[in-house]
Amino acid sequence: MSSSLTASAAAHPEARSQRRRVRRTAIVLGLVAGSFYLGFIAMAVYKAMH
Amino acid sequence: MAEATPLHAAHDDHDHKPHGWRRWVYATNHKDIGTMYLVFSGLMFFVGGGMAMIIRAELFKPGMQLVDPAFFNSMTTMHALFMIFGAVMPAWTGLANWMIPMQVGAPDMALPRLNNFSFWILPFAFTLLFSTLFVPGGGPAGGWTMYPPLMLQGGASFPMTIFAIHMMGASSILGAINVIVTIMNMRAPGLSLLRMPLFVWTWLITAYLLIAVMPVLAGAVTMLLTDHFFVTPFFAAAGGGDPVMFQHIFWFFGHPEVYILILPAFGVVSEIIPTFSRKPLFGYEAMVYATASIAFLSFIVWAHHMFTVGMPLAGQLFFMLSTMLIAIPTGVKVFNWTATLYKGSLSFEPPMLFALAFLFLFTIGGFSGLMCAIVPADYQYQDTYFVVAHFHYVLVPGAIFAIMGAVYYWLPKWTGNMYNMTLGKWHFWLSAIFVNVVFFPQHFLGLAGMPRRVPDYAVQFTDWNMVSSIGAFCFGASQLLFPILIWKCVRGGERVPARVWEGAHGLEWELPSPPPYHSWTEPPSETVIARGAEH
Repeated sequence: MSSSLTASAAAHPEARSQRRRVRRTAIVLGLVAGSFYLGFIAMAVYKAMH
Repeated sequence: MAEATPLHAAHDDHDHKPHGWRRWVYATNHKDIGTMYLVFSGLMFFVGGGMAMIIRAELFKPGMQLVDPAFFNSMTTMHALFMIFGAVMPAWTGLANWMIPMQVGAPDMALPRLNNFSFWILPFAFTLLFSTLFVPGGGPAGGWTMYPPLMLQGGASFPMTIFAIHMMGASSILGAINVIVTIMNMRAPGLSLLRMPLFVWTWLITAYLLIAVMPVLAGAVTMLLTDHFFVTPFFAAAGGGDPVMFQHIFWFFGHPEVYILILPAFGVVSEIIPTFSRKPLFGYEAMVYATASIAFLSFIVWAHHMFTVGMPLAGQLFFMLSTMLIAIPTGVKVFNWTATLYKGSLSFEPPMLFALAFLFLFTIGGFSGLMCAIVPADYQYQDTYFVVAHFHYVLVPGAIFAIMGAVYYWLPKWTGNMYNMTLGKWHFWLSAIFVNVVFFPQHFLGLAGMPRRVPDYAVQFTDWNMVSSIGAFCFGASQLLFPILIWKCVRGGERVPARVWEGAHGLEWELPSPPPYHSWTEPPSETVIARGAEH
């Protein structure tokens, strides 16, 4: 795999920023998923206490 | 990801595949991972299908003849879990892996190692789930919805099931992140969002749904786990908790999940119908907006699954009307597909046959869904075979026929070989006939009052149950043609050109058949994109 992506990376000067964008988007999406997980448990805790 | 290597070195490496088991265990190539997902999905389809055969064999006539009731309940639960999480979802992810990089002009998925991890979680998850059948107390038997307090009464299988569900959820979330990141960051320059193929669009929206709702399922089952082992009272009425809250949380996941299973099918059908009508898709942008509308509405309809649980009249009205609203964007899609067919130069190869069957039969499932949305009527339908008929019409000739259509559409591209058309048409006609023999009589059974999830029934339900079971055995047997056809096609066949179907448009058809191991090492030119983006 690396060879294919890095071939593209070498061919295009914006490859490094693309890699940054990829990582940033993935982390944001992961945080969104994590917050939904914890958020729903927190809502249930709140509901159970009231 | 590794540091950049010189371009010429990568070029030398173009079709250099790893060999042996390493190619699959360490796979980071999107086509290899796509293939593994599809093979895994096929395997789960037959395991889940085997469970369906056991269910239908037991229901062939009234009385208990083959299995005990607890095992029967395990079969209904496991059949659903295997089919939803093991067969349909991995099939879509496999198709996404194969097609999205090729369709957006990218060399691979954006996060290939994560891709490998997403896939390899699944065999462990399903081995764990399947192994629950052999622990004391047997497999989970409370239904795939896992409602407490019934689910909490499970034996040793309970924590294993919860852990397996967590693993499936993690796999789906990671896969969805990969899809979104690939589409948003790896598209070829010039391929704007509204030039993307509908399959890519529907998968993008599906991936957002996955990220929004799979963690909700994970949260719900985590709370089940703590209720069982740490005496928390989330869903335990005796401790001040509320079992109905589980149903709300579960269906907040569960209804969007239905669209996770079906939106990519809309994308596939939107690719196949224009190709075999030799016309552009009617209303491309309307299709995109309709898909997004359906996805949005899927978040505000969940309680239509639980009308009979008791809720205020205003709540019932809201969920009834919001559910009916979904018919509007879905109707836009059905009319657009029909308008695409109108005055088209139609031909009826297997992908088109499956897409047309989808169009007719999914619409039947949609109409019975509308019937279920009507609150007073739903009081009669709730927990009967009418509901079983409804969702099987949506999922079998809906999602599964679309997956089969997609495989028939892209298999020659993947292998470079044309498959046996006659065998494909036999597979289609047997499937299309017997899927109706299995599920249409279940409408009658449900309307007559036969409850779902029962291993025995009153004698007046015998005839239609026999018909349904005979249909199921024939449908199951006819599915054996599918792997035989695929195996023969992979082994050889008439060579096909890059554009396998003369009416096909899209970047994948600009690549040779079979495509090179690394798809687009150079982004496609504007001319190529323009040719591919003629929707």
